[in-house]
Amino acid sequence: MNRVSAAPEAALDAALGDRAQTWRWSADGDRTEDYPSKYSARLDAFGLHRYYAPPEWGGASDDHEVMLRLWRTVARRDLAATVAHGKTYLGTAPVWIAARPEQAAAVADAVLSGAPVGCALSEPEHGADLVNGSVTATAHDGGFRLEGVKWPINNGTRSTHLTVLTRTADASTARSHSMFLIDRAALPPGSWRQLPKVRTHGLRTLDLSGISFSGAQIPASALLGAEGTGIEIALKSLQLTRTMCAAMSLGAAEHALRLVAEPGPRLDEPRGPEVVARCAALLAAAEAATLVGARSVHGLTGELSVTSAVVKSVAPALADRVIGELAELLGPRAWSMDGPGQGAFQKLARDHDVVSVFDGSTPVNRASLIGQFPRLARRLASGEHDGDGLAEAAAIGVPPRRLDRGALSLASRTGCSVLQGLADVAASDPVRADPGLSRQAAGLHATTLRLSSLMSQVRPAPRPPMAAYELAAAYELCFAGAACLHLWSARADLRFVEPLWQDALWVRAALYALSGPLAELLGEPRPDPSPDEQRILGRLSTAILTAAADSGPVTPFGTAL
Amino acid sequence: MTADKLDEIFGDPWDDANPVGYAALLEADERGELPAAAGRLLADYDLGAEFVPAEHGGRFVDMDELTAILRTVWRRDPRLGIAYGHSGSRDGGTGRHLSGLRGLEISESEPALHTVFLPSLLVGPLDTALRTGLANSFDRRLYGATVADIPFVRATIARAYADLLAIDVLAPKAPGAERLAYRMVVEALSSIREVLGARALLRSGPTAIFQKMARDVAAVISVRPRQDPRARPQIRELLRPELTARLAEPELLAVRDRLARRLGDAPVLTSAERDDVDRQLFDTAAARYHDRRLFATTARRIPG
Repeated sequence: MNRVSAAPEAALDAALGDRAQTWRWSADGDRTEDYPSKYSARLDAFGLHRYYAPPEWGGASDDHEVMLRLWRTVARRDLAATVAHGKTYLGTAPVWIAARPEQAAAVADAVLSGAPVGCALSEPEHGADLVNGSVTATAHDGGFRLEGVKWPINNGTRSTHLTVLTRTADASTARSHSMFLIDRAALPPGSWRQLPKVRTHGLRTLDLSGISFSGAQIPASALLGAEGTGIEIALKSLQLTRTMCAAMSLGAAEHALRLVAEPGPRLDEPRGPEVVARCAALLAAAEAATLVGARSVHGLTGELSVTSAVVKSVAPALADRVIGELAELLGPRAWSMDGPGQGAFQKLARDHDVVSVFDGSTPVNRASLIGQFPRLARRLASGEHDGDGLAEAAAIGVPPRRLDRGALSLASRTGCSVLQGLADVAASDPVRADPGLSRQAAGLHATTLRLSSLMSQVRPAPRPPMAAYELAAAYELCFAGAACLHLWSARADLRFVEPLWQDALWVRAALYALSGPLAELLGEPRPDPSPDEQRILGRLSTAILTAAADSGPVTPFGTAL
Repeated sequence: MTADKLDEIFGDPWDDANPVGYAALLEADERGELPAAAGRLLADYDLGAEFVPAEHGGRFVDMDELTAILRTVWRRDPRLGIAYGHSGSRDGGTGRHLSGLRGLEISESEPALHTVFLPSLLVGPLDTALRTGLANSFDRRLYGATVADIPFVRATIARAYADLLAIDVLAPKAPGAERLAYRMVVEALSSIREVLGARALLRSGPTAIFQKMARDVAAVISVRPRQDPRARPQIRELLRPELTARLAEPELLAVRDRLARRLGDAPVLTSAERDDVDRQLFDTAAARYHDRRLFATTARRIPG
């Protein structure tokens, strides 16, 4: 009966210090749109940047579960500050995948000294359409010359190093681009120009800007990996970063939930407790999907083409739903500049609007999932899965095996073990021990079988029909449900020590909360909530309101304030 | 029609040089100020006279005409609809500064928002948002074609258009109608946000008006008295027959299907029928956009 250690998060939360003070930084920054330097200084002092380099290059740890928890802890105070700091992880991801030792050592030096590194993938006219990217690197004078505009880039002005995806062949194919590592200080003056900060609706403090190259000469040694492998490196890097982005959604949704559930006049609405419970259930589902996703980086590395697309879509979607429902409950106090937390709600809502867009938008991720439908549908029906990898992905709190970046694959050969292992987990003892949960698990499994049949009817196409996107969204929700069951099954012992775990409270509420949106996506009628569902939600609301009042954890794997 | 006249006075909203165009309105919004030029224009036009019956010297004809005029104001800037689009004096007591409707102090007794017709007025900002989404889809190229060639984008726009039509033909006083309308507005805006991608979040450039409309609409809805979520509306009570008569057959089917799915009823359309209806509605929405016509059932010509 060991609780999951919250030591790293607690240490980081303590390092960030007084919440009232950091909120003043957040509010001021949102108004002045200045870079969150004070947050960055505290995060650097804590050593968060040391997690952005792998241990073999001197970094702190490659445990993605721990990093996810750390980011979440920052994100529940300020999403923009988290994205600004965490961007070095994306910027350097291509390096740890493809760099030669001397390149990796140089970047590790920069990262460990706290230098920000940016990643330049997007272009003004191409967005996520990487294959049609038009910035060129042409062989010249023993090196390459860069031409064109990369925009927008997070940390586009402040980063000392940039990983840049550029075209090195005319045809637009999977091998027409290469990745470069650019040391900004080494660029010849006059051959490049900084583009100004982009003014955005949320995340206003970010250094979101761009860079324009006009004949910028870089050495041949700047090439990362082999020429022509740029798209592959970018897609593999995105598998890691898309999975980790979900930390932002967990933080924002927890922040929103606490603002509403903490004692005060905000719950004067009669149905307030019910809304709080439903939102807590959705957040628990998002947390389960995200934790299993982050641990899949280690345990199910070869399946990340599926897992990352699922997690990057479902976590922001569930958090958007939480924030939307809570906003409706709050009324004008949600958007008030001096409402709950002196305007904290409206800020987190604006900031979170961006999460479903960056590092590959939800439609982009769903399209990549749809491309893998034939195998996913077959395997979902058969239920074959990687049992060992899945067990590792569900073993929350247990240090995972080192990440083997060589095992990253552009298309999962084994489908998605998390979802394919649903029948087994539904039949596991901890699930069967609770008849209500057992019934819900069987219901979810039956839904996935209907889903796999619908998915198998989608014909592969470069431009899939809308119906396929809805099936992808349904697949994501089923993944979240399956993740809940795996975590319950792995840690059902916590029911003796944690209020949210008693009588499978959180997992039962989460499965109920997922069933409505799932039915809507599958075009199935939705019955009114059953007495059992109402009873579960009633108990959960009591547990959440108590936890919020005590500043305790409001999610099954959450931490106290 | 007077709405035509007001539109003509307002001029092309997409013209950056227009003092009452979106660029100028956004600048005022950034400063947290009400747009002065637009305010003067509406004062000269004497918008208040639209609420006064002819026998008392005003220009009020009927609710539909008044709605058309007010939507014209709300399409441009919801703040104008609140500051000028009401009959009495705007003394709402102590209010709040919200993240939307910047430059106004909003209280829950705000006179312009004290109407059950509010969902109908939100067709105005939703029209602007949808128009922004279509403009971006036709102007932007991705994956070797325009964004508007992507089936996902076409279906998403078709469904947002169907939602706009549904709100347009909704009977405002039917039980549960108002809350349903707000959910549809918010979800339609989310759909358009998906189509716009990162551009939905920019505060400059041709799509910047989207984030302002989304903020303003959220603020407006939040001020309305809370609706009972347990009221489960019946589709047959929700639609106004005199307005649904204006819908073409695929539009009516799409509206009924959208409402049924939202209410948790069995869908009206099969998957194949839905594909077909989505295609037809996208084509209609695109034609309205290219012909510079309103998306609502009146399909009135507008400047721009």
